[in-house]
Amino acid sequence: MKSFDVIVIGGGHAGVEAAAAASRMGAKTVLVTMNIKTIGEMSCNPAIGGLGKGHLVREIDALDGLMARAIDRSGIQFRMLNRSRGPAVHGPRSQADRKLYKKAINLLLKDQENLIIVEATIKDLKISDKKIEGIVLENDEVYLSKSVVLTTGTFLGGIIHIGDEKISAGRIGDRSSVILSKKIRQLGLPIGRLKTGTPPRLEKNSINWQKVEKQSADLIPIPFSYMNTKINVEQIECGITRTNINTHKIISDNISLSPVYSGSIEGSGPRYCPSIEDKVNRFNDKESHQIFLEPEGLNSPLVYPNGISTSLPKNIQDNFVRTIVGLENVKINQYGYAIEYDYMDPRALNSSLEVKEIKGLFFAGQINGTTGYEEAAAQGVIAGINASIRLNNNPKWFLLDRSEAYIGVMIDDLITKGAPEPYRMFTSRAEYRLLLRSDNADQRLTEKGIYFGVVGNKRRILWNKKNSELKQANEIMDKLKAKPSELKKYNLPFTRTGKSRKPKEILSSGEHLIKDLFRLWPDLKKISNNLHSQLETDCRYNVYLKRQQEDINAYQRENNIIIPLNLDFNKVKGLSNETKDTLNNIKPNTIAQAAKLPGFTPTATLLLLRYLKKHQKEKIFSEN
Amino acid sequence: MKQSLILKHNNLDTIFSSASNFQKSALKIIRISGKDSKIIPTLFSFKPTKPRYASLRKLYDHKNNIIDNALIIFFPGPFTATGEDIIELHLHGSIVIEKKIFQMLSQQKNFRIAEPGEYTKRAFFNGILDLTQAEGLNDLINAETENQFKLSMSQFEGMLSEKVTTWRDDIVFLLSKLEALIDFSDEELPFDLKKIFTDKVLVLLEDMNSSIRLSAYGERLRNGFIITLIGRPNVGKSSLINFLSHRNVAIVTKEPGTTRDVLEVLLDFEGYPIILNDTAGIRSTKSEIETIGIQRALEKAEKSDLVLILSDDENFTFVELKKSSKNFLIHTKADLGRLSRKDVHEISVKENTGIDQLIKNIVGYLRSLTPKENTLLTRERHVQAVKKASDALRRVSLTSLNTKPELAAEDLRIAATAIGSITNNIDVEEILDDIFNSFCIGK
Repeated sequence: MKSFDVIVIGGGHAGVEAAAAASRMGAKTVLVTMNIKTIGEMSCNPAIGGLGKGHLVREIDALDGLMARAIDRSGIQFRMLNRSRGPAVHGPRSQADRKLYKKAINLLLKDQENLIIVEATIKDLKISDKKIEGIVLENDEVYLSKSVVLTTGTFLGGIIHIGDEKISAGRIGDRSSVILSKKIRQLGLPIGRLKTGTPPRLEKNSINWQKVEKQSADLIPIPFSYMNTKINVEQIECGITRTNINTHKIISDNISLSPVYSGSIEGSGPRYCPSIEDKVNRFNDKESHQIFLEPEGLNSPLVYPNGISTSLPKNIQDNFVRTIVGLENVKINQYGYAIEYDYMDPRALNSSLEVKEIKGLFFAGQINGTTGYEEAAAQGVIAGINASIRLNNNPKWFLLDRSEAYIGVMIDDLITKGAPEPYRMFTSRAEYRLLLRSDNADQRLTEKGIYFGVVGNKRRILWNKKNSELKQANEIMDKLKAKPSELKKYNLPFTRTGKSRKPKEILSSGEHLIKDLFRLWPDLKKISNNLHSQLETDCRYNVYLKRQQEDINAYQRENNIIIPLNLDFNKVKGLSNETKDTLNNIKPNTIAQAAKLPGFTPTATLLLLRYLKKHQKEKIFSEN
Repeated sequence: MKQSLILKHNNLDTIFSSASNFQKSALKIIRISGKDSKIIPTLFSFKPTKPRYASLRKLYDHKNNIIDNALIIFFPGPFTATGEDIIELHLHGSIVIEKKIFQMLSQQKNFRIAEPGEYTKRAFFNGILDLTQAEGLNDLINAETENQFKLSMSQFEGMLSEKVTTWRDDIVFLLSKLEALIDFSDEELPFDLKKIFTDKVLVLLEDMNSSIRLSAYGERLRNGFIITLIGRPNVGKSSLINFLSHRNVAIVTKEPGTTRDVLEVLLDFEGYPIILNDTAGIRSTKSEIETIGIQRALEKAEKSDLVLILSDDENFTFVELKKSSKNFLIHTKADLGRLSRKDVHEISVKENTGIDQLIKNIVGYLRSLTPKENTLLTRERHVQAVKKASDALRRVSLTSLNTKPELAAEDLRIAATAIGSITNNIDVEEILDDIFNSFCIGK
């Protein structure tokens, strides 16, 4: 019998970040995985980031997580999406070399103190009196801990479909943890079923690259991590090709052979990642769909054709793929498939990602109904931090709200709305998008991370330096102002009212850079070049951010009114039965969460507030 | 309806509102709640009153002009209806007095008009439950729920809701296109965003603005049509106003430039409520105060429903006055001699001639303003929401969608929230649904 502070089950993106975060917090941590060789594996497409997702990666990095640093060491095609648009919607993305990414993650894990990694399959969770006590391995060995993070991804009840073939597995080549799945079902947690799919993997040298369009990386790749200033990995091109009428004909003729259409898949799939069957069937007026041919690595013999995820039978896959320009003689190395899996309805969780009903049991990643490495990793960080906080007698959780981070938006969405389809981050999900930018994740989160102890020394020092430089720069800028006549002299915008203007006011239009103001205000030269773009961006959104502040205050106020966990909503007088049911099911943590529930009226909020006030001794109405 | 109950406010603000309706009544009560209520005696230059005692005080404006002789009651917190310091001003029933007080309060830092149900909300936050439970809950429910919204709208049943639903759908449509552009920048989007926006945004703006304009008529019916008197000094503006109101509101002397500020008088012309503005005489002057007075007179005239241009000779031209306002030309002092012009009203205050005809013509004109459509936005809250949406949409129309889609989206969201506050919220899921249903997206 061994004992640990924190046990993390699963070595995917969520598990890795959870284990690393817990160990950074100083907890003696063990990561238990079924297959040590798959740690850091990218099981689906070989890319990190994108709109919303790139924001998550930056936030993980601001909390000293691993993902950004790993992709910076393995990215082979960095592209800043929406580059021509405002910085709030810039989405860092990069193709990854699978091998390099895996290597990077494993190296970063090695650097974590307090962390050991064990290869084993888990048979049981030890739970007594609604508290987790530890886990039992396949060989009956017991690991004791007050904190367990479960990050088993799609391995629970996973079934792979290729045509009418069914294989019980999490990912091709891996065993499904049927026993653990059964155990989790026995916990009485709400379980649902989702599906997702992948495209076939193509052999690189069987593609006629001459015939396809090319897309190249950004000239100057911008790193994900705030710790890095440049990228040293070689950058390569992707190919772009398209489906055509012949492709679509083969697919429609055989659509009944697809498990989704034949009815053998029950779970719902993501609408933003439709299979090629779905695309052809649902949008039959479109004659062609784009396919990105993404090399899986610098030296990998494989190519990932992004855009044709499918679960049609193997021979049909061969046929339709070969109708595509450039793929006439292509060899499929591994066929596309759909996977159905169990997930735990995340509405059973608190904002800390702890199961409401079981102390010390945390869930993170795809098992909570999300898709994507970034979404999984971000939850991993939060679960890892809170798993180590659980060890305190009076835990003060590490929580992020919707006005602080995309991570906060995601977790709030998950625990209040659940995941009726696999949940993916979009920037449109963030109400405060102009504030939650990928450029300022460190400004938003690193300080808080330092306070909670999840940020390592190296980053802390770096951040403190940047922070004090930013403060100085702001002081310099705030001291300066110029009269209209001076502004006019330097060809800068001035007002006719005769009012003086400050550098930040000039920068707010987004039309000028700090260096454009050097001649007028030589003092600005004291500001380090590295900070320019950050400061310019801050100024650019200033007017909008001030307008948003009022909304944010109102939201935070609602979010600060805590609803006690054990509250029996049936006792709240005046609520409709429907509302009571909703509340009893979801058990919102705060008034803000309750107010967002479907059908929740202002009157209901009021009744709930009144009840809380009457029945609570302690002052729950925080004043600010 | 998932509208936030707790409120776009912070407790730092001191709030005020009229406890009586914004209409003619014998008394008006203004209630002020918040930690800055204490400054009211200083603001209106009166001696503080003893807590919980009704005392008579004279209220003055910044220029030491008397506003009203009012009954004041001060309730120090926390044992008050809201749990905060409350002060009540019991005023004479005049729109002018009320407006003046509102104006002065609004100019104070951290003071603002209370939102519907906000007193009750504060009571809740401050733990004053028993007092407000019964009546306060009711107020709030009345002010905020969709039910009441429907009830009060029964006379125009369906019409407003139909219109707002159309606006709502259009905003969701626009937002989903824009969000698709942002979140799926790598995808091929089968639409011409610029064209969609040019078409839709301008139509929406036009539609909203016309509703706001129509609502202005409804607002005028409740709060008074604005008529402004313009003329050179000493042509008899104040005499006319005094004659009409039978009240000595303006000081009338023969010395030019006496009426330096704009004075308002509330009148009733055959059932039409009128706010008559008496203004400074227009002339070139070196006096700074007088110049400001003249400036204000011209501003007032521009915002009026009708301008009465008074003259005691043949000269009715004021270069400074914009042509856009509807105006009547009035020749005063007709007892001293008449002009032979058909487009001019001849009046004499001294002999009481021509004034009945003038009133008749004014009423005739106001009647002609009656909109052919029903006024849909009858509640101030709705008008404000539509105005907010319209302002935001105007900004959208000026923003480059290609380089600053995030700013356009932000303004569209503001519009969405504003319109959503009339019926029900626009949720991001709705936007995403629209994206995924209308075109093929995703790899």
